Amino acid sequence: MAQVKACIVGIYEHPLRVAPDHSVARLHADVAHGALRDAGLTLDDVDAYFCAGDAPGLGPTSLIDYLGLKRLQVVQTTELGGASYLSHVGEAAQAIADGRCKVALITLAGRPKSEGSSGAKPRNFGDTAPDVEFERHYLPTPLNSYAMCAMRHMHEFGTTSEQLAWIKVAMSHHAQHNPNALLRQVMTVDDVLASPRVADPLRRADCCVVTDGGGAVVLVHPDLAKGLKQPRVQVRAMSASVKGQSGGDMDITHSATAWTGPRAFEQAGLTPADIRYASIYDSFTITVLMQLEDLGFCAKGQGGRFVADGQLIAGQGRLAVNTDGGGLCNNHPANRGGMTKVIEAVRQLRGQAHPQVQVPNLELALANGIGGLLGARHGAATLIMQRH
Amino acid sequence: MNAAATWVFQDPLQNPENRTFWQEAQQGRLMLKHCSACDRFHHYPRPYCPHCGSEQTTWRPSTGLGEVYSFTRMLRGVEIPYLMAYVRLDEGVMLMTHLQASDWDAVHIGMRVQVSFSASASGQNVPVFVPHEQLNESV
Repeated sequence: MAQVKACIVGIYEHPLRVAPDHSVARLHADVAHGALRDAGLTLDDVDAYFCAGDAPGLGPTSLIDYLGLKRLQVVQTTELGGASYLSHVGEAAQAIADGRCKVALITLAGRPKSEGSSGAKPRNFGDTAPDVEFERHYLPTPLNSYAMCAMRHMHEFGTTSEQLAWIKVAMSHHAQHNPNALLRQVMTVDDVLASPRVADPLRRADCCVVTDGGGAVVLVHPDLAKGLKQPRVQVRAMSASVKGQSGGDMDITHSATAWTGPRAFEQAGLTPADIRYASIYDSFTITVLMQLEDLGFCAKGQGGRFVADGQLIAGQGRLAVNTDGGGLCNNHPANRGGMTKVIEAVRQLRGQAHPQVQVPNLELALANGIGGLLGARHGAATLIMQRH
Repeated sequence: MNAAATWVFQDPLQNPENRTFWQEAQQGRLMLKHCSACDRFHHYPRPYCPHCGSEQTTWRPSTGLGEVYSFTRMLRGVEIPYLMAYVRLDEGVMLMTHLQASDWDAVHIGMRVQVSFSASASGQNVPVFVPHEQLNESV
């Protein structure tokens, strides 16, 4: 096996889902301190900091000053929307492997619940984005972008609303065991199908929750990891990319994961058959289905059959997915789900997931993220981790 | 459900290098950028061809004909429901647009559509698409 690049030694998911009295900066501080505490480290140990567009202020500058990070050797702010944090883990591991730093902190936080944000409202990525001139007046939103992907996927491959519903059902089965999850009630396929259509073919239950909160991850050099308290999780591979409209020569039934997934598996010398737990970005049910296909867990178009009949439920399905309840039921802080994807995968590899959803003797885990608008332009990142 | 008659587009945020696109829209023409180096259309328009990188891009009128590639009816959480869509033009390029149809339930992927224009708040024509037969009937 290749040399170990870096180990994830600290994780923290903010327990709050509604935080009207917390600032975004304070939420970042809560999760930074939480992850360092989990690792047995302090702010003074941190020499690399990673954040994305949820960080208030100019790039990382305000938060670095606010947190009191004084020894930084590496600073990076790759922005891939909700997929950013999976990319950060891979980039931090490489920076550590290159000898440029030893202790990397990655934070995410936001309060869209308290600020009234939802997926039915247009996102403002800035007036100078070249696509804005030809799109903004049509009110593109996360909801209608992902809905058009679902509509086309159903048309091309015969995917059904019942199959999409099974994804929500699986997440709800997991969320019942998570005391912090926003939605803890177990749902049936009929429950999902009975929820109101918001942008057909998607129903309200096909959409993730809107929550305040955040999460953080700490990575260190393997030599440092040996002396720390948590079971070590090593980073095996990461690949990130972006897919857009390609000048109008486009499809919306493949995500950029169709490129990042195979590359990450190749880097790690693994195949989908090696994976028994996966954190799959679940902004909407269709997002999960397309990523599973693009990662190669099944052929393109077969995602509906792959997820149906409880196949994503831990302990009974073929692949345990999002055992924290995912973005669909547990948490989607800052409208960016990549961090919680990493965190639950690390819990699984440590053996610290809830006993009802823990995958026994787990060696390998995959986390995958999609950020931005899947049907217009989005980032994707695939991360593969291993118990060390 | 019927199309919302009261829908008014917000004004497009216009860029001087695309003045032709918006001026021609006022005349009822949909313009596309074509690259003479690789002989391909692209959308949205830009000075450098996104397919081959050439700067030999010129404006050409589109037939305005195409088919629905995908769509969704935005029904909740919005002030006025709207039909969001991607249309694949006969020139081979896809564009984000709205569909305006008298019968929303009849809209389907593959449906033949034709460009039409809808005025924004300050009167700029914005491209939308209507069912091909609907346009012919309403004339």
